[in-house]
Amino acid sequence: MALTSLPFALFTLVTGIIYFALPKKQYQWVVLLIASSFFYVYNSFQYTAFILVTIITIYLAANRMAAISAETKAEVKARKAEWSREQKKAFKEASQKKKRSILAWTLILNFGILFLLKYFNFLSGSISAILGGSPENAPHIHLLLPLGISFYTFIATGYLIDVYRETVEPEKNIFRFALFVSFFPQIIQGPISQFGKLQDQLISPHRLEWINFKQGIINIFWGLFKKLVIADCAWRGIKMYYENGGINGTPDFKGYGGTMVLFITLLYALQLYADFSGGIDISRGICRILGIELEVNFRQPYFSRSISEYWRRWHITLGAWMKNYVFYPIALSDLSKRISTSIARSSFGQTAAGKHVSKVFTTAMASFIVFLCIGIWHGANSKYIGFGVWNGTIIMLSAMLGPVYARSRDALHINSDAAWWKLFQMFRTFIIVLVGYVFDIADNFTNAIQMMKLMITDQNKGIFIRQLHTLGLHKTDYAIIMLASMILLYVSIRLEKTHLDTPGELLEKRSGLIQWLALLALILMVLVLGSYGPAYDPAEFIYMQF
Amino acid sequence: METLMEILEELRPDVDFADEKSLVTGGVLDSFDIISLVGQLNDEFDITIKPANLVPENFDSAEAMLALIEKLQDEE
Repeated sequence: MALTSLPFALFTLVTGIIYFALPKKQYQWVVLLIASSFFYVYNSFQYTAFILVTIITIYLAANRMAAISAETKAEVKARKAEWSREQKKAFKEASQKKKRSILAWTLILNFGILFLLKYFNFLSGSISAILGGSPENAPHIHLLLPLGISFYTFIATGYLIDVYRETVEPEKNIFRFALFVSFFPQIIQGPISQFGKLQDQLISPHRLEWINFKQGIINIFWGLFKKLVIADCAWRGIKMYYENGGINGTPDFKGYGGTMVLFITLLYALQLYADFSGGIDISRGICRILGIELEVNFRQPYFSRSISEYWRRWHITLGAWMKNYVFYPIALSDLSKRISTSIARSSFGQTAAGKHVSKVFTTAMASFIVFLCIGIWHGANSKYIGFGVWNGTIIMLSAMLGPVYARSRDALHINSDAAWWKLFQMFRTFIIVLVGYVFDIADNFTNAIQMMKLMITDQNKGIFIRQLHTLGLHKTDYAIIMLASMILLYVSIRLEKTHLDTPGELLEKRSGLIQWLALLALILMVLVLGSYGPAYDPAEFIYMQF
Repeated sequence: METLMEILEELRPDVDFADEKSLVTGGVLDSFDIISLVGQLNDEFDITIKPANLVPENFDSAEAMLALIEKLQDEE
């Protein structure tokens, strides 16, 4: 049941009607739990045991850790007078150790399942879906894995670490916790919600409000527009390119020149963004109608002026997860401190450059490890290691060489606020992002390098134009992609300038007539221009409806 | 507060720390700044800032940072 399918629309509609029609609003969350359970079992019946293991182990571990904390506090309070400072400290450390061991074993179990399934899947050869997959699914979903396993594992383990750190209270009700982990609008492709931001919203009662309904509908159709009009159309071209053997590592790429490889990479950048962010828009739109605000996951990432900014604007909740639970613990670890101190004390550490390096080295290393994790998380393939190393190296170098960049900019009298400089930075960042995408598109690391080489050495417009038809897209398809991309670009620029999150919020300031016309135009574009599979004929569809 | 302001101004001379109230949520300080700041605060105030303390509420303003430092000093 894909996000853009009719069964999903019907399922959501029925869920929404029951949710709002329920007389006792305090049980609305039960409706969401039943809907989420149905959705999960319907889509991933044979793998339901995995999500149950995650729910049960993390629920029990979180509550056990909280109980240890409460018992420790009570004991320390009761023995306040009789214990010395050292005794209290030792007692606290002993209970902290118990908590840490529960945390570690639960994390090992849950990540163990995730990695085992991911790599088993890869080894059995089924992971070819990473590049293929069907257009109605997000690029990062692997069909033979339990539905949403990466997302719910991250969501649930993030919660567990928060409980360990005592930044949130544990959920006492296992059914409410099950809803948090399996909430249907976010299980397919995120966002990776934080317990502290989502749980209260999930369990508190909500009434249907016009503003939420309107904003939600606009967001849903904006997401459908991105997915069906842009992403799925672009995907047809990319898929045909694969089928024609354009990526399989033959020296001449089956006669496709470097211009075509570049074009496919650009098309992929468009497809990936439209598909992923479009899916999130649909999920956020559904939740908005239900009165639940999901976190923003994309903020016009292609307008970023540096690669670290890009990673703060692309899949924001994954970045936040990595920052909170991987980056900070590594950067603040004792080992990092020891490395920094030893650099600072060395003779190199006494120089100006050495002082800077001693300050940022461990931080840069921590971010390199984060990107390596992100790379490996994508799959067991050299190209994903390449992807991680590429992003990690750029971020590491820009942190280490920060003062050098600043000095060169000053020496060249470049005003960092000048429009041309900002545009140059955006362009430069986009190129770095595209290089990362080549790793994603290619078969393996060597193939990715071949592709990049071809892009530089073999530019031929004539061959490219003659070969465009081999992608299986017609002139009208290219026209649709162009038109839709222009609309996407315009809306993105408006969002960037106004610091708003959704097109619905942009429209809110306009008159009622303009809002209705915009929504109508959006719905029509989705119905008429959307890709609905090879057998679909838009004219026939409209005819049937009227 | 004075020592804290000196550390902050040395870290990012371009930021008005006296008035800025959304240093983290507004994206003024990135995670690299935070790590570098944490190292200096730990040394200067003899505290141990843990990953659990690295929430935006503790670093959004100079006042919030001071409150965190005082809280951790009490706990030590």
